[in-house]
Amino acid sequence: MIADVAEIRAALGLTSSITDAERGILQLVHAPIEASIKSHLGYDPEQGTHTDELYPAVDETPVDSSGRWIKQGSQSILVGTRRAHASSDALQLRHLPVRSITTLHENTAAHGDPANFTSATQLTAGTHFYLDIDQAGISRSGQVVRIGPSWPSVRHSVMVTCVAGYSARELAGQDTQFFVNAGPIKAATILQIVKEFKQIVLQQKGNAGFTAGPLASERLGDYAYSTGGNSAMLSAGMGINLMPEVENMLAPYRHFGLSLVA
Amino acid sequence: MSLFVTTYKNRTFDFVVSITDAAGVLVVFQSADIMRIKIGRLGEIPILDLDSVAPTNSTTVQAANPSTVHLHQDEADLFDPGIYSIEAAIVDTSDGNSIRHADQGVFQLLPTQLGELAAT
Repeated sequence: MIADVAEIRAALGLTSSITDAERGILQLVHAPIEASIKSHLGYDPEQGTHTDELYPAVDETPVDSSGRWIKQGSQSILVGTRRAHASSDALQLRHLPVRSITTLHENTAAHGDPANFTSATQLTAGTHFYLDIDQAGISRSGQVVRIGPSWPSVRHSVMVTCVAGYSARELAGQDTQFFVNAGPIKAATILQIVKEFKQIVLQQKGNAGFTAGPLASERLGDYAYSTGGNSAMLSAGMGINLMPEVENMLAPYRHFGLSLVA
Repeated sequence: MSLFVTTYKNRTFDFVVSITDAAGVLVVFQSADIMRIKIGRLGEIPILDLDSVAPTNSTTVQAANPSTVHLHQDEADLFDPGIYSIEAAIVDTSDGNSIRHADQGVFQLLPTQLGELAAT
């Protein structure tokens, strides 16, 4: 998880005590929001090993008419599909930042079948390719450069297993080795979870009519109300839209997998 | 129940964990039972996995309920300052060594100044 449940409890002021119902709501919102954050970023920011089948992409103008507008914070930008219309020496990996490449295979006749990436198709770092590193242990661009010939322009012709993502220390904004600050990713995640948690709790206590319950009774003299549990209400907040400030915090870390139209 | 521990990086700290039932009565701890404390992040290998059978370096957990946890500074130095999950559990030896969750709480480690190697 990007954010530990203890960190979210601290943000909610629930460090000393928490009810079982509150634990349940926290569980309900935590995983979907982390999934939304990862989807928005375009990759998993937690460090891990990933295996992807790729084909080269170029950072040039879009090659077809599939460009579309996407919302980036308060503004919209036009993006076009990244398409390997020509061979290139740069291969863009899917997860960022790349820390190391474990194995890399190239086979234009693989046709998307991992079994076709045999040991005979494996390339050697330093001889056939190199990682575009900023310093030892990190490549912020996540690009692999081919030595000699260009990467093939056939889909699923390259399979890469690499270690990518931010360490727990980097996500906490405490890194001193690479001076990588991925703290805003964690902060944005916690901010969104806190918002969704509070929204559900408020709906439980205040909403009645649109969805049956859970306001069970209400009285005006010496104002009082009672509430009831309702799974529909519990899940009412799950149509997750990231808040604009959350999107802004995540903006520097997004990996479109698409090329920006200048 | 609540389990909320605040301590400081690279500082020795003792805290007491009491496990009660819903009525607030201390759960009976049999002599062969084992108290366990895990501190770390959910879904990952604990940074500190303590039990009352054997000390972890200089850190000890008392085999009793309430249980005194003696967190030595060497183990408190394993963490970056921050907020972590802490779990208290009892291993029931009369029930096939099944581990029974007692509570999951918040463990916060606050930063300190450096220079703690000498006695003065």
